[in-house]
Amino acid sequence: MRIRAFDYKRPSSLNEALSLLSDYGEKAKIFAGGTDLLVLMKKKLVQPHVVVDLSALAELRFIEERKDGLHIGPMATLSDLLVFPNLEKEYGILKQAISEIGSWQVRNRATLGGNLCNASPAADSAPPLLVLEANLRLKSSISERVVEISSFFRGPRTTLLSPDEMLVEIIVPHPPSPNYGKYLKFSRRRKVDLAVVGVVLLLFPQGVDGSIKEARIALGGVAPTPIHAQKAERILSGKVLERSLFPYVAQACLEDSACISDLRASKEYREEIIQVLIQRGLSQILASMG
Amino acid sequence: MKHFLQIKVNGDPYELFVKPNWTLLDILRDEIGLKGTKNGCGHGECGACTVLMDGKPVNSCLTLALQAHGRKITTIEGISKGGILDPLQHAFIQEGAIQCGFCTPGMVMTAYALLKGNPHPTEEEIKEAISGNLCRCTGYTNIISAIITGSKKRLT
Repeated sequence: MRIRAFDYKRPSSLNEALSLLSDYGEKAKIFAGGTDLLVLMKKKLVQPHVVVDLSALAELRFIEERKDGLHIGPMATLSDLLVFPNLEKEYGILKQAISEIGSWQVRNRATLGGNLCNASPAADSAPPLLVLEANLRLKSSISERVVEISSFFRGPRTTLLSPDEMLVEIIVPHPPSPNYGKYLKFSRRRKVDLAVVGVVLLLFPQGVDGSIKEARIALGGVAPTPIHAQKAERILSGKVLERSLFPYVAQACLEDSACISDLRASKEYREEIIQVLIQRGLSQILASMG
Repeated sequence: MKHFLQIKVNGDPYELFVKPNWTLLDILRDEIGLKGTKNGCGHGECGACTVLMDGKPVNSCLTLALQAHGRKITTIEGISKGGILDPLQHAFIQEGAIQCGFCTPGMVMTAYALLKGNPHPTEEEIKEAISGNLCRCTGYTNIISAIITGSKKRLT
């Protein structure tokens, strides 16, 4: 599979990278791990004039636990994240989602930043980061801004990044504790496949009686972007978690979704799977609440 | 325009001038002449192109050659030492884990990396590790046995 020729740039500083983006704009594509971009380039769906390879920017490959939450650099690989000591305990749903992405080989190269900026509607890291209310720091050579992840995705493969902008940090606040979370993914192949449907549930208990103070639910693969299932969330908030609610929550998720038929699944199958995964996730959470 | 690439493959240093659109797989096979690593699907789904980059398995078809600048690469040719096969390779032969052989280099590289980090993997851990390597011939059972046998051989 031949890749069309391009100009290759390997900046040795973030400023140099940003300056290249401001010079080349839409003609340039950022190369992080390359596990999405190279596939697109091989299929000729993306043909940049200039590739800006970030591999020399070691300063972008950080994962730090700070007072306000987890700070993740855009070049941190998925494997880097999976071995980070506190990820399971505090950000379990993110860890569950990341371990579902690709294969060991892919995770050794793929970056969290890339997964977000590639903005597949089925991106596994997106639903957990949506419910964890992550913030994204975007930078250009003349500006810097922090946006909520809920505004980041604009459509399939489209984000609110302007052509001269780059993601430089992902900030994940500490979720209130205690909490119960699950990420479930349905795909045709168990590994190395895009999610047909991805579902995340994050519930915050009220007290010890099993009632839910707040429910956060997000879905991937069921709309042009990853989405919050707000109707479903409202059904659970303030209620005691019990089985009789599950079908209503599942049905409400359908109302928030806009499934389509594509090569992976039909609309009807996706709608069926949403309901299965939601109920399965709620069951598992109910069981773990003891 | 070609760019300078400095890379170590199986312990040997190479200095090459490569085009940006050449993948690591391309240069291993065509510039350096190591044909053991295979091009299966070309887009990171089959694992036939698996090599180790700084000890970690990666799909060489999805790595630009220039991204490997300054890194250490191990290919299947680097697993045997002086013509003597690694115990893991012996195990693959012994357990009948090789039919057509096309997936084998990638499968061995992934297994080799697994055993380096986890000398006593469970069957589940093995399945998880090789889930990025497809085999159309064997049905995987002999491959899994080979990795278990290989893990025991490597410890003796």
